[in-house]
Amino acid sequence: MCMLLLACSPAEKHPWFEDRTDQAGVSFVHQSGAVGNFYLPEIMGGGIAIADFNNDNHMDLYFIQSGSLDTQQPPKSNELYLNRGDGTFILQEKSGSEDTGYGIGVATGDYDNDADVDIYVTNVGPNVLLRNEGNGRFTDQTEFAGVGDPNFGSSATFADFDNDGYLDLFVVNYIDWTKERELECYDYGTGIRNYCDPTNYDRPAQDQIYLNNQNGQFTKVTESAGLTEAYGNGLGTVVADFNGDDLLDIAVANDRTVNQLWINQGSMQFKDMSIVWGSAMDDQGIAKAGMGIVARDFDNDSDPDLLVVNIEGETDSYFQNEGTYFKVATAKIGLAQVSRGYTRFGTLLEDFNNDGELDLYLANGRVNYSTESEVADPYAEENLLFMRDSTGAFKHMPDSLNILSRERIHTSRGAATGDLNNDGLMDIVVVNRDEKPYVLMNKTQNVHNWLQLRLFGDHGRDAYHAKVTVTTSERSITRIVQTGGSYLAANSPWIQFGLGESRGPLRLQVNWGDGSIEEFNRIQPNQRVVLLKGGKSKEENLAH
Amino acid sequence: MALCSCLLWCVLAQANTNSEYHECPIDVSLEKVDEEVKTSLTALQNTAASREVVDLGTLGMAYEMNGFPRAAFSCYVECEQLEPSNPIWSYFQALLHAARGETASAIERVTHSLSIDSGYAPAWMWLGEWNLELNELESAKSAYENAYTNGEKEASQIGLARVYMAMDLPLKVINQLADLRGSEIHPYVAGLLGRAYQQLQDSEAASEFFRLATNSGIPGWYDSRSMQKQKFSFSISAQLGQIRAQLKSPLDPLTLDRAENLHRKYHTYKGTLTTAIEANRLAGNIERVRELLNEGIQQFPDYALLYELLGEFHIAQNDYSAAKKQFLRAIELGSEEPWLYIQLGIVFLQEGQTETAHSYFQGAIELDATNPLPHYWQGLIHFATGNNEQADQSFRESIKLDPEFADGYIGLVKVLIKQSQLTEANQLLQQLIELGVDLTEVGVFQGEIERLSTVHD
Repeated sequence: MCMLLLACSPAEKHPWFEDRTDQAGVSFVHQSGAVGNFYLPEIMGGGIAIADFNNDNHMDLYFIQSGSLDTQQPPKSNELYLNRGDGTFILQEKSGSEDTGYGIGVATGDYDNDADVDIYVTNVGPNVLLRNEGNGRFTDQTEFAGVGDPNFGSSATFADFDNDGYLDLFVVNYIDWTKERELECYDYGTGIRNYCDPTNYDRPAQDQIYLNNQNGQFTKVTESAGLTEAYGNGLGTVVADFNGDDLLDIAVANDRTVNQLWINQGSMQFKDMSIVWGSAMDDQGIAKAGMGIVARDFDNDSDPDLLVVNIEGETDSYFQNEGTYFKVATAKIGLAQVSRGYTRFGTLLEDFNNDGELDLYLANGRVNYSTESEVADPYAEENLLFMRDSTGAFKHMPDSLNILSRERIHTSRGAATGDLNNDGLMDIVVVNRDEKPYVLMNKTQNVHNWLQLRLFGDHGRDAYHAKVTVTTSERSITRIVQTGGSYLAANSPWIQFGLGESRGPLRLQVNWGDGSIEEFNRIQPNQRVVLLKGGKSKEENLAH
Repeated sequence: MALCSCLLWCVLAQANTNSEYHECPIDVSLEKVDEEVKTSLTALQNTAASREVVDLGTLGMAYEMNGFPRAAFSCYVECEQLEPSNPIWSYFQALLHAARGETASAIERVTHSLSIDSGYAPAWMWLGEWNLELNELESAKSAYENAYTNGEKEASQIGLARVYMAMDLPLKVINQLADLRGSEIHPYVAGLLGRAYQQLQDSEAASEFFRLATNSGIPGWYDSRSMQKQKFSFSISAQLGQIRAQLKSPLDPLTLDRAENLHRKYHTYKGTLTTAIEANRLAGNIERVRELLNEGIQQFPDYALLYELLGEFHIAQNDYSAAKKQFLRAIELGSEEPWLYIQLGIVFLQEGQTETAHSYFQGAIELDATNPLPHYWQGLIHFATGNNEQADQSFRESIKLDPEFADGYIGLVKVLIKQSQLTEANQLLQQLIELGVDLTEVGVFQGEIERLSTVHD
């Protein structure tokens, strides 16, 4: 009887997250510029990056502002918040990062190998590359670097596709859109004027790939790389080595056009293998409205699997990596039910409670007008938190467990994760359309053991896409250094290992992504450790 | 007692998350919806004040189709209370639960509906679908088998194949789909077979099926219960959608009436105007088309599409000069339709302005690099001006873009004959025959090639 009562009552009283936006000193308010023209970009942004921009070992925040598509309005700029060291932030004015384009998304990476994190912003109009000058100050290098793609950019990611030690750049474009090409659309049910469906335009836009010339400049190699062979209404992207050949591949989530999976053939040549691998469409056999995307090892076989999240009425699409193809197993991991009632964008797959299993946070918000919304914003939806149980299935957390319930309903878009106060728990930042963001500090009772790692490779920069396997006496867990994924966002480069009850010492194996593998032994849990290629490690602190 | 309390608590908790209505609401605010929806729903709300099941049910369906699913849900619940023996009310509730991602509740409701009428195959299909979503594979299998027994043959076979795929039984998938893999194979079935062969590591067979697996979705099934809701789609966009779906030749006179009536009632909507124009064009009412276009241009002077349509109208009347004027205006207003540039190119060509014509064809190519037509027209210009090398290139490009583009072959044959490349010209003629081109035309060229060959010999 007690079991029954527990099963149907909100048993968990302690929320996992606390919204500390105001206390954290974050005053950013996203502005879509919507005034009734229903310009498509107004419903898509904006983005968020979590990274240590001033090299003080604390995660900072960079918010992407949209602004207004009406040229009569004064432009709005992106905002950089530096971490004071305790999870509170101060707006860094005149940092040089205040791009005023109509911002959509963001990517981070050290493209010039000078040991600081640079920023790439996607806009409606020319994108912008901001080089970090080493002290949290930025200069606009777009023109010199040759990466000012003028289209309706969405997500982007840095990655070393040709293994030359320099980060190349992949940019996703959504629709070949201009204000002049905007259409007049009405909701089918209510007849209310609304934003158009991407298929109305029938103008999917070409994604772009830029090769790093190792001198601060890039060369656009989209055509020679083979990327003109396929493209859709691109929104999300994630990079991972899906076929284990030490070459990074690219997955793109497209909105109502089939997804792409660019398998790296070497020598900057790519081939779209999404049909053969099975990620073009899931088991529903239809091009869904793909938005958020993540690539993580769901099934603990040390290769990256793929999750694409879709619009209200469509299930998520989980593609389990079988080495040479994906098996669709969405229902098997419990993601063919609850989330279908929401329009999902930001997608974070992280071990938020350090129990050794990946949890899932979905940042949601409609694109269809709701006449029955419980709040004033007709596009607002609650966000969702899922905890993975011992069977491997994701379980939706009851409202009492997930604080983002009734009073926290907005139209959420980009979402990123990182440990903002260095307490060994991963926090979340979410951008809300025309609203303040959520800065969600992780308040789980951290009774579990954990380990946080940051990896630096040959060039003194983060070893993006290096793969780390941590082995305890009970199990092995594999994670990848990956800032990309989610939606319009860049995550912290630190990787999180929740260890549950497992105690040290731990054995670490690092595949640096260039074929070299190193082991680090006798690492103790509950600390932040920096691993340097060549066998050195540095304990950052002992926080637990 | 404690158990009952708990269950009741659960049910209430569930109900609270599902709907804020305690009964079918007949006073839902219609402030924001369009006029057509407001008028129709208000009438149904008034009728439903009687709280008769038929009126509440009708209102529920109308709510559902016009953007009020939670209100609809409450109506269906009340209908079920008033008429518990009718399986349709729990069935409709199930579909709404499913749309919200409440799969377990959807299963409970559809199971209840089936307990009243176990012979309704679509209900079994949904039960199979939702059990698949819950990864309850044996239950899904059983539901699809029941759907098959109750007459839903093909869709349930595919459902069973999906169950076997989820069970990692690729051979069973292949067997299950054996009847459905003929020459008219559905793209979804091809995709399933591709994945089954992939799991069996037969990459050749997998590739063959993947080639056919285009974006199509799961083949649907006819659900007469849900279909009856369609007539309650009142919004202008919904009505326009219904009318536009019927815009085909020969046009049903009723469709023309509906298009005209909607335009008359909502003449400030661009969509009702263009739909009325298209309906009249299909009905052959030329004067009415002209009238609507002129009215439209008065009303929406910056709407490029109207100038495109007016230009087309003039082309149909062979008035190229008038067409040119309208097309140029459309481009001035920002229209980027490649066919517009092609039409302008043709008009300028007819006027002997070959350079301008060429630039418009180039504009069409820049807007759509996959269209063979502008390349073909550029080929004709080059050929006519004696620039055989460029003509050759343009025609070849048109064929490359569409290997079945007969005009491109014919243009190239002409160039090759002129350049005395008779062997290749002959080969192309053979390809033309294979494409099914009129043999008389091919014969003319063959005769010419023969004549030239004799001269050369």
